[in-house]
Amino acid sequence: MAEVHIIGSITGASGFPSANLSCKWSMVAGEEWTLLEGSIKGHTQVDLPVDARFSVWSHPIDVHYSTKSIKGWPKLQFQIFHQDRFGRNELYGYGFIHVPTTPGMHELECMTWKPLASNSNKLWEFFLGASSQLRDTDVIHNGADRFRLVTATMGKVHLELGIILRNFSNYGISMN
Amino acid sequence: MELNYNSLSSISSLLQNPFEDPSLQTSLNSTTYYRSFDSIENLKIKAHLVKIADINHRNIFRNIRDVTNTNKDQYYKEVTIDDNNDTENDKSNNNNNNDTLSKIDKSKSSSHSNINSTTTSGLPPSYETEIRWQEKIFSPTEVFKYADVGTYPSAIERKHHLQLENILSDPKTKNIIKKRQLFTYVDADNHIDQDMLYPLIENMTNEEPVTKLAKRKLTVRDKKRHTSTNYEDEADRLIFPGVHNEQPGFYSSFREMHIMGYFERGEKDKEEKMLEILSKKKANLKKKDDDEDNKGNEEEDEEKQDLLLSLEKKNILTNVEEAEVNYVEKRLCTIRAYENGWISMTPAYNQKYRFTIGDYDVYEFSLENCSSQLTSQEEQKEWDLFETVDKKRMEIRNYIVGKNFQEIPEMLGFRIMIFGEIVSARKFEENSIYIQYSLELPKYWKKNDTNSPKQMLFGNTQSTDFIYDPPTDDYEARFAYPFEFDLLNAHYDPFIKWPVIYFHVCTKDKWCRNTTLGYGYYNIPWLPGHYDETINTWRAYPSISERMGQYFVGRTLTLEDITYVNFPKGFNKKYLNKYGFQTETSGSIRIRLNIVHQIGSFHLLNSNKDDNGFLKNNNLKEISDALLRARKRVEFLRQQQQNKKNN
Repeated sequence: MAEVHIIGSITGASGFPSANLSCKWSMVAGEEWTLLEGSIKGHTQVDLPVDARFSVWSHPIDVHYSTKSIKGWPKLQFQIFHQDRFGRNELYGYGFIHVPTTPGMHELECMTWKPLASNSNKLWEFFLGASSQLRDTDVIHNGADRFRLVTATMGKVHLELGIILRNFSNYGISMN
Repeated sequence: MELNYNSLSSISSLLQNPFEDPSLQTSLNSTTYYRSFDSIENLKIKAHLVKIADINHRNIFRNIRDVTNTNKDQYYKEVTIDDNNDTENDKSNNNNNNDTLSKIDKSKSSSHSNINSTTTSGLPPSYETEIRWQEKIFSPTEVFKYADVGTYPSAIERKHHLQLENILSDPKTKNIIKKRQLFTYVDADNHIDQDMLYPLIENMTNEEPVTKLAKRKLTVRDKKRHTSTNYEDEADRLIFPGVHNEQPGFYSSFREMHIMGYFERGEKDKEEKMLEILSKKKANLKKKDDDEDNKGNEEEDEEKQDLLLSLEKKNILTNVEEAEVNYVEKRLCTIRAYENGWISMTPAYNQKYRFTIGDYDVYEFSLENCSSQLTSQEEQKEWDLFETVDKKRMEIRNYIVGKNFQEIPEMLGFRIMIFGEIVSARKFEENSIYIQYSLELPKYWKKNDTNSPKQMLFGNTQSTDFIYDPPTDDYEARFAYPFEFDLLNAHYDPFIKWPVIYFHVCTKDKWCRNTTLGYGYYNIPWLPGHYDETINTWRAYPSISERMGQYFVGRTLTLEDITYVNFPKGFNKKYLNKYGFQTETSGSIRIRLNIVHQIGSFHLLNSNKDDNGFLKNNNLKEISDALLRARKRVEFLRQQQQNKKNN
């Protein structure tokens, strides 16, 4: 089996309507993948940036996978939450990104979106801070059912990922 | 000190002094961090304290010369007691000294702590002691304090009490304790030194560094940490690792010890302290009086008055209080050992520090690392041990990881996997857009149905709106839409036609009418890697009537065959003519692709052949296997050809 190290950090977020953001992330990989070391889920702190343009999280990611197949290459999925001054957490975006397959350092930006609520829901959202969310978070990293959705574009999540591969060439796999 | 072989190397070899040139320092608050693989229990520190000026010897500079000259001799002899070469060198340096004197010094220094009796300047002798990690050395005050620990002693008090009883039973040590100038607080003592809480600004010795409120706050915060990490024994620490930490991760758990100095106060200070303690006592007594007044006990009142009077006559100070009045404790060094192998020392060793006590007394203090060093043999042994442990670990991991890997289906030697994403779109002049994509598979390409069944080569993104993107000063629609293709071919060949992805950008208005906004295509690259591409799109330019239809009834110009964007389907002429077709530029799409190639094991065998095509390894089984595979392949190719003919 081949092995993959994914080491890096979720640097931060930009382009969201307001700051005070936190990010809940998880890594999804196929059935043939076994997690050897590291955690594949996490939640960053809530960051209150000074200039409201870039929230910094610097949240570390360090995962070590072994795999029997290149199918189901790991993906990262994000849920961005905004915390208002009453401490309510409102969904601000869903995002996803394929972990790059080429070894080396990658600076990535992951786009996010959120489901667009109907007008009555918008009213609800405004006063109660309860935004409409996906019931099934698989839609974040799965394209099959996406066409049903109407979404609003949200900000970007910035990532720095370093990829280290092992033994792939032994099985006739070339990455770059 | 025996060395622990589970450790990587000795503390002494890895601790490095950051200061090349040891010069005098006045601040005892600068922290230096060291790192060691050795267990902290092997740490041994030699502390050296000397008084260099007092009220009778005010000229510091004269005294320094005196002290350094006299002390240097003694100092070095003590250190190098085990090392013959160095003592010889020292002897040659100090021709003036008697051999007999040095011998006496030698015999003296073999005891654990040592008080030098010979000084020329009339100042008290220098004091030197070796301190092991978490070694409790009692101060004279503590001797009184722990002699009687009361009815309900805490665990640490009881421990100290027993330890002290042992020490005091030996009359020799009893005398040493009385003259002791250096003592320690261990981790269990929970000593908090205000000195460590807020570092003084240098050169401002007399200034109160922080307000009382800030001081109180800092103390409370540090006490919290102390009480939360003070476990009775190691087992408790293991059960609740860091659970009680107020801010997780902020205080990584460490163990610490303080090396303290024990100094006599100046006369003025003594009086002040005396008054302070007396007033405290008085206040306590008065408080008791008040309580009892309420109860109406007036008989004992007179007795209390007597007590108060006698207090003023200084008769009633306990031993501890008396010691407190006469002596002051000062933190000289704090050593913290963190769990990750860090060791912090405040201040660093191999440095000389000078400070004043009271008005006239100047002391010089220095630390030295005297942990025993590993010999090269021991070090080798340790490294060997680590290597074997590491090997074992790797074996276990290899067992978990295994060796099998998903094969691509037989006959087809080349697999390409595409992990892609439709990232975003720009410059489409609509409120909300969506993108349709589809993958065209040319001749010789095949979906990999065995490994990834039910894959769709086309799809629809969600419909999303635009947002202003400040860095590029433009509006952007973001999709973050994933797609994955798993394709097969007979072998890697960049000269045949490769798959193409077609994009069709549309918008859906509030009456659910779909309008085409743009067409684009992208050729899958021949090389594996990570691609971040922007695809420009165009759309058919409508005539005036068509445009009116578009405006009023939502008519839209759509290509019947999307492959027209690239080479139209079935095109095999010499000249691709698109003249006569008018388009207008539309927006752009950004996509990201990760492309991975996999070659089947049949092709992999090629690496075993040399240039002439002969197998390098004369393994019979391998050769027969290769033969079988070659035959299968020939049959497969024949069948393919027949199929083609039939078609």
